[in-house]
Amino acid sequence: MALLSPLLRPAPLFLVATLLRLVLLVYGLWQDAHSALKYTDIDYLVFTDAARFLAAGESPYARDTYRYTPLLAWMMLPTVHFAAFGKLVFAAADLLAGWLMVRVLRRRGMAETTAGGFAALWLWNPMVATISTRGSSEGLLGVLTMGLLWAVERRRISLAAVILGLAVHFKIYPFIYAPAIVWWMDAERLGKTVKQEKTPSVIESLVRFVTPERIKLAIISLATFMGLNLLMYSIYGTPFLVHTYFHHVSRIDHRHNFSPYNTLLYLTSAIPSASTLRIESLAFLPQLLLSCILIPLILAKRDLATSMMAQTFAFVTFNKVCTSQYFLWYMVFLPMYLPYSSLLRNPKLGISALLLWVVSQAAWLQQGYQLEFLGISTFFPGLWLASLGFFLVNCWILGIIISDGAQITRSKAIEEKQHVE
Amino acid sequence: MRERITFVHEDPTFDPDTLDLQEAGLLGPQIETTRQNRLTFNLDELPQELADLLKGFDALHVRWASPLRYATLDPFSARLSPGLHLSYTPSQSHGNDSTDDPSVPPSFYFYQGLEDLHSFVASSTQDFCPELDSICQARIRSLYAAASLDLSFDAASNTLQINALWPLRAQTITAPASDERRIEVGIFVKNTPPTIKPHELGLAGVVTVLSDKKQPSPTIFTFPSRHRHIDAEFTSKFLTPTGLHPTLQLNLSSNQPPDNDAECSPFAYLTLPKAIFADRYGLADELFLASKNLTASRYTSLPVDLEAPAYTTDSWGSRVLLELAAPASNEDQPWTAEVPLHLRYLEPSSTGEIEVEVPYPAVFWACSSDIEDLSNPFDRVHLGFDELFDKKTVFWHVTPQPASGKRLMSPVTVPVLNDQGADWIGLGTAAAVVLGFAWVFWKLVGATVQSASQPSPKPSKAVEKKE
Repeated sequence: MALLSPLLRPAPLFLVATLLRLVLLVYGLWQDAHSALKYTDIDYLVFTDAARFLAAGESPYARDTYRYTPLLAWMMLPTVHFAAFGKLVFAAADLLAGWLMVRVLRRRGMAETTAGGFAALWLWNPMVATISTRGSSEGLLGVLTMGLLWAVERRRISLAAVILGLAVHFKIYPFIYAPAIVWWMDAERLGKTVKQEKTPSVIESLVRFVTPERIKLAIISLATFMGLNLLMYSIYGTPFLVHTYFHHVSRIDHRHNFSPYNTLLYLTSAIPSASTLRIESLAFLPQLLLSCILIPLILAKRDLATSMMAQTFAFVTFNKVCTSQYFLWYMVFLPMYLPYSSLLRNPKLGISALLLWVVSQAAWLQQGYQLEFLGISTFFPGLWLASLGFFLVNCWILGIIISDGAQITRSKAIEEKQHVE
Repeated sequence: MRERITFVHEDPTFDPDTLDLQEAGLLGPQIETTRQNRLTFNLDELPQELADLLKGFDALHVRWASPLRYATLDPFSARLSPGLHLSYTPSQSHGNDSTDDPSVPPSFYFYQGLEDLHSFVASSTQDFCPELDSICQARIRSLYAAASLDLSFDAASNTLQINALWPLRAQTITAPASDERRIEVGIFVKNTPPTIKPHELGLAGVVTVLSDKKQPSPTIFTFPSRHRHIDAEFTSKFLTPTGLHPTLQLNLSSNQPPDNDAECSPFAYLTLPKAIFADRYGLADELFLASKNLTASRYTSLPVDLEAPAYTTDSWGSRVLLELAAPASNEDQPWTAEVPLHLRYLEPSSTGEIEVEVPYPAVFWACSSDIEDLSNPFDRVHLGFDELFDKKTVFWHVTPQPASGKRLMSPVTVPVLNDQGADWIGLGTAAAVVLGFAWVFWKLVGATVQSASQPSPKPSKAVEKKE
C-alpha cells in the first residue's frame, strides 16, 4: 500500500484509470477489426443501430430489443459517424463516478491517498473498465447513483432530485434510493436545530416529517421523471412505454441467469400448472420490502452510502432476473462501504466472503457453460442448485453489510473522537 | 380438366416402338426415369366448396417435398426444403382489412415438417374417389412414392394446377386412359442440338394424346429454363457440440460456378422451424461473415423474435436467404459454409432433451441472364426464394445428399429442463428464498435491537461484538 500511495494521488489515480480504458478501447477496436470474435458488447450494437434509425428520422424502437429510454439513442447519435463515441462516453462516466467517489470520501475526512485507494477499487477495476469499453451502458448508472449520493450529502437537494428523476427514467431501479434519501434528510441532518423537550405525538412526528426539503425533493424528482416520460411519449408514443417500461412487467425471464427464480420461471412459463407454489408471482414482496422499506428505515440515517449499497444488493439478489452486469449497480458503492466494513477489519471474514461469492458464481458459470456451449441439460439440478447457492451466499453477505451499517455511527464516532484526541 | 404425364429419362436404349397404346391406356417397358403428372382444373370443374374456398385467394400454393433423398433430371431440377410449405395472397376483393400499401397485396407463408403424404392420401381416397373406383384409389396411392407434390391456384388464370413428381428410378411407363379428360403423354430424353443456346434445355422423344388413339409422334424441342441442375452436391449438418447456439455446416462438393459468362453467386435458402432462428443482426459483420464463408444475409422473413421461447412464439418460424462465399479458385475444390443459429427454449421434457429436425436448405447458384422470359411448360415459380431475385435469374440447384442415412433433415438435440424436478423446483426455490429473506430480516432485527439498547457510542462494546 505504501508503495502504491504515490499512485493514489488524484492525478496519477485518474491517469492510470484513463490509460487503462484507452488501452482497452484501442485493443477492442483492433480485435473487432481483425477477429470474427468481437470485443464489442452486443448491446452496443443495439444502441448504435438505434442511433442510426434516429439519424434516419425513425424511432429508435425500430431496432429490435432496444429497451432503453430514447435519451440513450440521442446520446449515441455521434456514433453514426464515429463508432467509438459511445464507449468514450461510458468510460468518461466511469471516471466521473470515480471522481465523485473521491469527493464523497474526502468530505468524510479521509486522507487523499486513502480515498484514492478506495476509489481505485472502481477506477482501476478491470471488470468495470472492460464493461464500459465494451460499450455497455451500465457505467452511466454508476455515475448517476454516485452523483445522487454526492448531491445529497452536499445537501444540494434540487440537483439530487433531478438526478433521481433522470436515473429512474433511465433504468427504473434507482427509485429504491428515494425512500432512503427522504428518510435520511431530516431537519437535524439539514442543520436545523429542532427543540426536543418531550417525546412528540404521532401527529407532531408526521408534521415534523413533512419538511420543505422533502417536499422539494419529491416534487422536483417526480417532475423530472414525468417530464422526461411525457416528452418521450409525445415524440415516440406507445412504443416508448412498451419497450422502456411495460416490457419489464410482461417479460417472462425464462432464460437461465443468476436469479434464484430463473428455473422456476422457465418451468411455470412453459407449464403453468407445474408448480402449486406460485412463489415467483410474489417475488417482488421480499425484494421491495427489503430494498425500499426495511433497509432504508434501519440504515439510511446511520450511513446513506451503506444503505444504498445494501438496498441495491438486496434488489439485485432478490430480483427475478440477474446478470453479471447488474453486479455493477452495487459495486459502485463498494468504495463508500468498505472503509467501515467488517470485511476489511476482519480479513478472514472478508476473504471468505469474496471467495464464496466468486466460487458460487464460478459454479453457476460452469453449469451455464455446459448448457450454453456443450448442450448438456444442466437446468436441473445443477444450474438450479448453483443459482440457489449463489443466492444464499449473497444473502449472507447482505447480512454482513447490514450489520456493518448498523455499527457505522459508532465507528464514525470513534474516528471523530480519535481525531479530537 | 386436363392431364399431362411427362417422363424424362436418360436411357439411350429406350425404343418408342415398344410403347403400346390400348383402349386401357398407354403401356410401356420399365425404365429408369422421372415422371411428372400434371392435372389442370378450371374453377368450374371443381366441387363447389373447393371453388368457393379458392375464390378467397389471389394466389395459393401448397407444396410438399419429401425428406427422403431423391434424384431427378432437368427440367425437374427445382428443389425445396423438405416439408409442407404454404404461401398465399388473400383476395383483394374479399374485404381484408389490410392497412398497408394497397398496391402490394399482403402474402403469407407457413411451413411445417411433414414426413410423408399418408394422411393426405388417406383423406383424398375417401373424399375424392368414388367408393369402388380402384383406379382412382391406386393413382392417389401412387403418391406414396412421389418426391414432391404442388397444388397451385392463381386467380389470374383461374385454374388449379396439381403437379406430382416421381424421382429418377426404375418404373413402368403407364398412363391409364380416361373418357373424362384429355390426357397428353410425353416421353423424353435430354437432347442437345447444335443450335441450342446456353440458357436453353433440349428434349427429344415422343408425344401422344391418349384419346386420339394414334401411335406416339416424334418431337424435338428446346426452351429456356429458370431452374437447372448443376453437377454438384452438398450435405448439411450441425457441428458438435451444438449447445444453445448451433452452427449448421454446409459442405459443398464444388466451388465452380455453373456459368462463367454470367454473374453467379451461391445461395442457401433456409426454412427454419420456430425452435431455431438466425439473428439477422448477428449476420451483419463482414469479418464474422467471411470467417463462415458467408457474404451476406439477403433476406429474413419478419417478424423473428430474438428472445422468446418456442412455446410463446406465435409464428411458425422463419425463412432466411444467405449469400455464400465460395473460395475464388479456378481449381475445383470442395468447401464449407457455416450458418450460426440460435435455439429457443422449448418446453420441459422427461429426459431433459428434445430432438428437433431442421430441413435441409435449398442450395443453388443464382446467375443473372438477359432472357426476358424464362418460363417453359415445366417451370415452377413462387417457390419462396425465386421472388427474392430478379425475374431474369437462373437457379442452378445443387443436389442435397444426406450427411448420414437417407433423410434430408439435420437433427439437433435441444437441452431442456427435466420436468422430473418440477416439484422440487417449486419447493426448493421457495425454501431458499424464505431462508435467505429470514437471514437478512434477522440481521435487520439485530441491527435495530443493537441501536435501541446502545443509544450512545460505546467503542469497547463495538469491538467485543465483532469477536
